[in-house]
Amino acid sequence: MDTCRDISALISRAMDARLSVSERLRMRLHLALCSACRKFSRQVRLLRWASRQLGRQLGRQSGRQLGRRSS
Amino acid sequence: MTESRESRPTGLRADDLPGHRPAMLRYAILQVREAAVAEDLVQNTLVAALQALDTFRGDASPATWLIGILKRQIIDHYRRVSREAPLPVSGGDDPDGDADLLDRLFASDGHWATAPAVWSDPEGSRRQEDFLAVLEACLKGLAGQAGRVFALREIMELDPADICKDLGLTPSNYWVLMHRARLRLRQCVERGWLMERS
Repeated sequence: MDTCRDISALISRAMDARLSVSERLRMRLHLALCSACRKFSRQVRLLRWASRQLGRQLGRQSGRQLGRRSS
Repeated sequence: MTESRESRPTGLRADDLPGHRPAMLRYAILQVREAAVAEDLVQNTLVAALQALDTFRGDASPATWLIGILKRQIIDHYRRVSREAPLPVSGGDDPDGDADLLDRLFASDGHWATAPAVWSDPEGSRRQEDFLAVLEACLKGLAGQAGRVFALREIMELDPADICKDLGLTPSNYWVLMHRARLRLRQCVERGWLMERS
Protein backbone atom coordinates (compact mmCIF):
# COMPACT_ATOMS: atom_id res chain seq x y z
CA MET A 1 0.00 0.00 0.00
CA ASP A 2 1.43 3.38 -1.01
CA THR A 3 1.85 6.07 1.59
CA CYS A 4 1.33 9.81 1.13
CA ARG A 5 5.11 10.14 1.32
CA ASP A 6 5.53 7.82 -1.71
CA ILE A 7 2.66 9.32 -3.68
CA SER A 8 3.68 12.94 -3.11
CA ALA A 9 7.03 12.11 -4.77
CA LEU A 10 5.17 10.63 -7.76
CA ILE A 11 2.92 13.71 -7.97
CA SER A 12 6.02 15.86 -8.08
CA ARG A 13 7.75 13.71 -10.70
CA ALA A 14 4.61 13.64 -12.86
CA MET A 15 4.99 17.42 -13.31
CA ASP A 16 8.10 16.86 -15.45
CA ALA A 17 8.09 13.27 -16.60
CA ARG A 18 5.78 10.61 -17.92
CA LEU A 19 5.11 8.07 -15.21
CA SER A 20 4.89 4.36 -16.00
CA VAL A 21 1.45 2.83 -16.37
CA SER A 22 1.66 1.19 -12.96
CA GLU A 23 2.86 4.42 -11.32
CA ARG A 24 -0.03 6.35 -12.84
CA LEU A 25 -2.45 3.71 -11.63
CA ARG A 26 -1.04 3.81 -8.10
CA MET A 27 -1.22 7.59 -8.09
CA ARG A 28 -4.82 7.73 -9.30
CA LEU A 29 -5.93 5.08 -6.84
CA HIS A 30 -4.33 6.92 -3.95
CA LEU A 31 -5.65 10.32 -5.05
CA ALA A 32 -9.18 8.92 -5.23
CA LEU A 33 -8.97 8.06 -1.55
CA CYS A 34 -6.75 10.78 -0.10
CA SER A 35 -7.87 14.40 0.10
CA ALA A 36 -4.53 15.58 1.57
CA CYS A 37 -2.64 14.36 -1.50
CA ARG A 38 -5.32 15.82 -3.78
CA LYS A 39 -4.66 19.19 -2.15
CA PHE A 40 -0.91 18.73 -2.54
CA SER A 41 -1.41 17.95 -6.21
CA ARG A 42 -3.45 21.12 -6.74
CA GLN A 43 -0.91 23.19 -4.81
CA VAL A 44 2.00 21.90 -6.88
CA ARG A 45 0.19 22.91 -10.07
CA LEU A 46 -0.68 26.30 -8.61
CA LEU A 47 2.98 26.84 -7.65
CA ARG A 48 4.02 26.15 -11.22
CA TRP A 49 1.42 28.50 -12.66
CA ALA A 50 2.27 31.26 -10.16
CA SER A 51 6.06 30.93 -10.56
CA ARG A 52 5.71 31.34 -14.31
CA GLN A 53 3.40 34.29 -13.84
CA LEU A 54 5.99 35.89 -11.59
CA GLY A 55 8.82 35.36 -14.07
CA ARG A 56 6.79 36.73 -16.97
CA GLN A 57 5.39 39.60 -14.94
CA LEU A 58 8.85 40.93 -14.09
CA GLY A 59 9.58 41.20 -17.81
CA ARG A 60 6.31 42.99 -18.50
CA GLN A 61 6.82 45.34 -15.58
CA SER A 62 10.09 46.67 -16.87
CA GLY A 63 8.40 47.00 -20.25
CA ARG A 64 5.76 49.32 -18.77
CA GLN A 65 8.50 51.45 -17.25
CA LEU A 66 10.11 51.81 -20.66
CA GLY A 67 6.76 52.70 -22.20
CA ARG A 68 6.36 55.60 -19.80
CA ARG A 69 9.92 56.79 -20.28
CA SER A 70 9.92 56.85 -24.05
CA SER A 71 6.43 58.20 -24.68
CA MET B 1 22.66 56.09 -35.67
CA THR B 2 21.72 59.78 -35.87
CA GLU B 3 18.32 59.09 -37.37
CA SER B 4 17.66 56.03 -35.28
CA ARG B 5 14.84 57.77 -33.43
CA GLU B 6 12.85 58.23 -36.60
CA SER B 7 13.78 55.07 -38.46
CA ARG B 8 13.49 52.77 -35.44
CA PRO B 9 10.55 53.92 -33.38
CA THR B 10 10.65 50.65 -31.44
CA GLY B 11 14.41 50.86 -31.02
CA LEU B 12 16.18 50.75 -27.71
CA ARG B 13 18.45 53.57 -26.59
CA ALA B 14 21.33 53.33 -24.16
CA ASP B 15 19.60 55.66 -21.72
CA ASP B 16 16.54 53.38 -21.64
CA LEU B 17 18.59 50.58 -20.10
CA PRO B 18 18.84 51.82 -16.49
CA GLY B 19 15.04 51.91 -16.23
CA HIS B 20 14.98 48.13 -16.64
CA ARG B 21 17.47 47.58 -13.84
CA PRO B 22 15.03 47.15 -10.90
CA ALA B 23 12.94 44.47 -12.61
CA MET B 24 16.06 42.67 -13.81
CA LEU B 25 17.48 42.72 -10.32
CA ARG B 26 14.28 41.27 -8.88
CA TYR B 27 14.40 38.51 -11.46
CA ALA B 28 18.08 37.77 -10.79
CA ILE B 29 17.57 37.69 -7.01
CA LEU B 30 14.86 35.05 -7.43
CA GLN B 31 17.36 32.95 -9.33
CA VAL B 32 20.54 33.34 -7.30
CA ARG B 33 19.27 34.74 -3.96
CA GLU B 34 22.59 36.48 -3.22
CA ALA B 35 22.29 40.22 -3.78
CA ALA B 36 25.95 40.67 -4.73
CA VAL B 37 25.81 37.89 -7.34
CA ALA B 38 22.53 39.25 -8.71
CA GLU B 39 24.06 42.76 -9.00
CA ASP B 40 27.00 41.34 -10.96
CA LEU B 41 24.74 39.41 -13.31
CA VAL B 42 22.57 42.44 -14.01
CA GLN B 43 25.65 44.58 -14.55
CA ASN B 44 27.06 42.05 -17.03
CA THR B 45 23.68 41.96 -18.75
CA LEU B 46 23.56 45.73 -19.14
CA VAL B 47 27.10 45.78 -20.56
CA ALA B 48 26.24 42.98 -22.99
CA ALA B 49 23.00 44.75 -23.95
CA LEU B 50 24.84 48.01 -24.56
CA GLN B 51 27.27 46.27 -26.89
CA ALA B 52 24.45 44.51 -28.72
CA LEU B 53 22.07 47.49 -28.84
CA ASP B 54 22.19 47.64 -32.63
CA THR B 55 21.05 44.05 -32.92
CA PHE B 56 17.80 44.83 -31.09
CA ARG B 57 15.12 44.65 -33.77
CA GLY B 58 11.99 45.22 -31.77
CA ASP B 59 10.55 41.77 -32.56
CA ALA B 60 10.31 41.26 -28.83
CA SER B 61 9.72 43.99 -26.26
CA PRO B 62 12.92 45.50 -24.80
CA ALA B 63 12.09 43.89 -21.44
CA THR B 64 11.82 40.45 -23.02
CA TRP B 65 15.04 40.99 -24.94
CA LEU B 66 16.90 42.07 -21.80
CA ILE B 67 15.53 39.25 -19.67
CA GLY B 68 16.68 36.90 -22.44
CA ILE B 69 20.24 38.19 -22.09
CA LEU B 70 19.96 37.99 -18.30
CA LYS B 71 18.80 34.37 -18.53
CA ARG B 72 21.90 33.47 -20.53
CA GLN B 73 24.07 35.22 -17.92
CA ILE B 74 22.36 33.21 -15.18
CA ILE B 75 22.82 29.91 -17.01
CA ASP B 76 26.51 30.71 -17.65
CA HIS B 77 26.88 31.57 -13.99
CA TYR B 78 25.48 28.20 -12.94
CA ARG B 79 27.66 26.37 -15.45
CA ARG B 80 30.72 28.08 -14.01
CA VAL B 81 29.70 27.38 -10.44
CA SER B 82 28.97 23.71 -11.05
CA ARG B 83 32.25 23.26 -12.95
CA GLU B 84 34.28 24.86 -10.19
CA ALA B 85 32.63 23.09 -7.27
CA PRO B 86 29.96 20.48 -7.93
CA LEU B 87 27.20 21.16 -5.46
CA PRO B 88 25.93 18.43 -3.19
CA VAL B 89 22.35 17.33 -3.73
CA SER B 90 21.59 17.44 -0.03
CA GLY B 91 23.21 18.35 3.23
CA GLY B 92 26.15 20.73 2.85
CA ASP B 93 24.61 23.81 1.35
CA ASP B 94 21.22 23.47 2.94
CA PRO B 95 20.58 25.48 6.10
CA ASP B 96 17.33 23.64 6.80
CA GLY B 97 19.03 20.27 7.07
CA ASP B 98 17.17 18.75 4.15
CA ALA B 99 18.22 15.29 5.25
CA ASP B 100 15.31 15.10 7.67
CA LEU B 101 12.88 17.30 5.74
CA LEU B 102 10.83 14.26 4.72
CA ASP B 103 10.90 12.90 8.27
CA ARG B 104 9.54 16.20 9.55
CA LEU B 105 6.82 16.50 6.94
CA PHE B 106 5.64 12.89 7.09
CA ALA B 107 4.75 10.74 10.09
CA SER B 108 6.44 7.39 10.55
CA ASP B 109 3.47 5.64 8.90
CA GLY B 110 3.99 7.75 5.76
CA HIS B 111 0.98 10.04 6.24
CA TRP B 112 1.33 13.82 6.12
CA ALA B 113 2.40 15.06 9.57
CA THR B 114 0.25 18.13 8.86
CA ALA B 115 -2.11 17.66 5.96
CA PRO B 116 -1.97 20.34 3.26
CA ALA B 117 -4.76 22.90 3.65
CA VAL B 118 -7.14 24.20 1.02
CA TRP B 119 -5.71 27.32 -0.61
CA SER B 120 -8.37 29.68 -1.71
CA ASP B 121 -7.73 30.28 -5.38
CA PRO B 122 -6.02 33.59 -5.95
CA GLU B 123 -8.95 34.70 -8.11
CA GLY B 124 -9.08 38.28 -9.30
CA SER B 125 -6.09 40.42 -10.07
CA ARG B 126 -5.77 41.89 -6.58
CA ARG B 127 -5.73 38.45 -4.92
CA GLN B 128 -3.35 37.22 -7.58
CA GLU B 129 -0.88 39.99 -6.82
CA ASP B 130 -1.02 39.15 -3.11
CA PHE B 131 -0.42 35.49 -3.85
CA LEU B 132 2.55 36.26 -6.07
CA ALA B 133 4.00 38.49 -3.34
CA VAL B 134 3.81 35.62 -0.84
CA LEU B 135 5.38 33.29 -3.40
CA GLU B 136 8.18 35.73 -4.19
CA ALA B 137 9.08 36.07 -0.51
CA CYS B 138 9.12 32.28 -0.13
CA LEU B 139 11.23 31.79 -3.26
CA LYS B 140 13.87 34.12 -1.86
CA GLY B 141 14.16 31.86 1.18
CA LEU B 142 14.34 28.65 -0.84
CA ALA B 143 18.02 27.99 -0.28
CA GLY B 144 20.49 25.55 -1.70
CA GLN B 145 20.53 23.42 -4.79
CA ALA B 146 16.79 22.73 -4.52
CA GLY B 147 16.06 26.45 -4.79
CA ARG B 148 18.33 26.79 -7.80
CA VAL B 149 16.77 23.91 -9.65
CA PHE B 150 13.23 25.06 -8.89
CA ALA B 151 13.91 28.60 -10.09
CA LEU B 152 15.52 27.40 -13.33
CA ARG B 153 12.59 25.11 -14.04
CA GLU B 154 9.59 27.11 -12.88
CA ILE B 155 10.61 30.75 -13.28
CA MET B 156 12.99 30.52 -16.23
CA GLU B 157 10.99 27.63 -17.71
CA LEU B 158 14.08 25.72 -18.79
CA ASP B 159 13.85 22.14 -19.95
CA PRO B 160 14.66 19.57 -17.21
CA ALA B 161 17.23 17.88 -19.48
CA ASP B 162 19.06 21.20 -19.97
CA ILE B 163 19.01 21.91 -16.24
CA CYS B 164 20.59 18.50 -15.54
CA LYS B 165 23.26 19.17 -18.16
CA ASP B 166 24.06 22.67 -16.89
CA LEU B 167 24.21 21.72 -13.23
CA GLY B 168 25.71 18.26 -13.73
CA LEU B 169 22.75 16.42 -12.20
CA THR B 170 21.36 12.97 -12.90
CA PRO B 171 17.61 12.75 -13.54
CA SER B 172 17.08 11.18 -10.14
CA ASN B 173 19.03 14.01 -8.43
CA TYR B 174 16.71 16.35 -10.29
CA TRP B 175 13.47 14.65 -9.12
CA VAL B 176 14.68 14.63 -5.52
CA LEU B 177 15.65 18.31 -5.61
CA MET B 178 12.42 19.42 -7.29
CA HIS B 179 10.34 17.45 -4.84
CA ARG B 180 12.14 18.95 -1.84
CA ALA B 181 11.78 22.41 -3.31
CA ARG B 182 8.03 21.91 -3.79
CA LEU B 183 7.54 20.52 -0.29
CA ARG B 184 9.40 23.43 1.30
CA LEU B 185 7.83 26.04 -0.92
CA ARG B 186 4.28 24.81 -0.41
CA GLN B 187 4.78 24.85 3.35
CA CYS B 188 6.05 28.43 3.27
CA VAL B 189 3.37 29.65 0.85
CA GLU B 190 0.65 27.94 2.87
CA ARG B 191 1.71 29.75 6.05
CA GLY B 192 1.91 33.08 4.27
CA TRP B 193 -1.27 32.68 2.27
CA LEU B 194 -3.48 31.50 5.15
CA MET B 195 -2.17 34.38 7.28
CA GLU B 196 -2.84 36.79 4.45
CA ARG B 197 -6.43 35.62 4.24
CA SER B 198 -7.20 35.57 7.95
